[in-house]
Amino acid sequence: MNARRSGIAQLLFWALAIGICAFGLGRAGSQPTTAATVSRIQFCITAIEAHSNTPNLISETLIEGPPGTDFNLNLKSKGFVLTTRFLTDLLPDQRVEMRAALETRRYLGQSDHNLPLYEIDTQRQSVLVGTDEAAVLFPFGQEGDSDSFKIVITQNPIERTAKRPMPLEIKLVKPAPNGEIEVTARKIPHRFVARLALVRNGQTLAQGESSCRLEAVQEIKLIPAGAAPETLHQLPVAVALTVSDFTRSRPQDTVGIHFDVLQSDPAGAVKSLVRNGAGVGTLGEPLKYDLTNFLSLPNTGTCELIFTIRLAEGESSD
Amino acid sequence: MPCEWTEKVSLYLDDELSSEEATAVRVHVGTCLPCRTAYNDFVRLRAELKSTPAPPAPMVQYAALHAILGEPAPPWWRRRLTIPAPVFALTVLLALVGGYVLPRITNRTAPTTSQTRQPAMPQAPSKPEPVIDFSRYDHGGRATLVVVKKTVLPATGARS
Repeated sequence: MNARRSGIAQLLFWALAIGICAFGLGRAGSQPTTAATVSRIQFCITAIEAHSNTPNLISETLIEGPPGTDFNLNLKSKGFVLTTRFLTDLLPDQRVEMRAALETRRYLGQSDHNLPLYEIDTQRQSVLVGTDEAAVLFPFGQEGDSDSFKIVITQNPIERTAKRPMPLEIKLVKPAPNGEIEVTARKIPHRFVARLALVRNGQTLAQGESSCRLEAVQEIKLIPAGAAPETLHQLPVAVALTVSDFTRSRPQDTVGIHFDVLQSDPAGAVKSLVRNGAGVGTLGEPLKYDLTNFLSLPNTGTCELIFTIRLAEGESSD
Repeated sequence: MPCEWTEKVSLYLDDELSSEEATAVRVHVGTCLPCRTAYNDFVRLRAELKSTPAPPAPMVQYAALHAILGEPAPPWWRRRLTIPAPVFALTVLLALVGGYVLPRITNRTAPTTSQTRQPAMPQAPSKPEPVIDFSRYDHGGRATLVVVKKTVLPATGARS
């Protein structure tokens, strides 16, 4: 009886051991073993001070990620803060379009009530940078060459061979002595498709569709449908839409939008029906706004403007 | 002919009688021959038991046994371990599962998200770095972003 039990235990053991080995081999076999060529983009961000025409490297950071990698660059010093956000897109001719949002905050002194006074400047700039060029950011302005401080950004498209997706990487080659300069990077989708529909009581009056880029205003004309009243033909409606943000979320990602609803008359004059509309919705799901009180349409009922934002072809949320 | 007091004699020697009973037994032993004989036998037996040496400890017995048999105990690395087959199977199974799962857990330490933050700053050096005084460059100008050819940039040793 004992010998029989021992035999069963051994049989069970070997069956489990072989099963596990087979499972492990199966998993190993399912891994991609063939290497593929992966397009990557490198950014080199160097902070340089030129004192009496003598350049001095203060900090250097390398970023490598998939095309479309964005980065933030912040500078903090006594009485001055620079916050920047760079959205980058690699163009077919290997140039990189950098859309920069710059904000500076400079301490000016104190008010009569002993409160701090700051000069805040916000601006947006867009530049095209080739592989033989560099984007140069002068945080304090470009005044004279002898004593200046600048941040130089160069780009370099490369191709790597990899068996699996490569992560975004930041290499801090030389940090700023006291952490005055901070660099962060991320990769999110930049291109979207927006579909808009003006709906009254469930019936589509006008609709329009267009591709959109992240943080770029896109005007979308709403083309009147067959059921549209004559007013919409005479006074067409358009929407100035900006996909302002993309956030990875669960169970689904979300997008933020800003928009104005515009209406033009036959003479070409444009007036805003809705200004500074905004909202956050689930990617691919309708986002509805009640415009009943903003549109002067006959036979009024509930009139809604419905946004549906989805990723453009080729974009991935991962 | 045994006396009915014989059992009390044994109890007397064990000091389990009251003082009255003990006095009675002592008087009885002086007058009863069988009880006196039993008393003497009990006393002699106790003396013999006390003089007998205690048995050796188990380990001593084990060593003595091996000394008699002439087989020294094997060193620890040659000893055989006897465990039940299910225990052995479970041990090997856990080892296999551990060997399979552990590398995959450690592989997950690589960054998988597409958002990466700048690495932590290196440990502070023993000699403090000089603070950069950016204010000497601040003349109140507006931040500017321009594009230039790389050739016009000063050589700083950077990788650009």
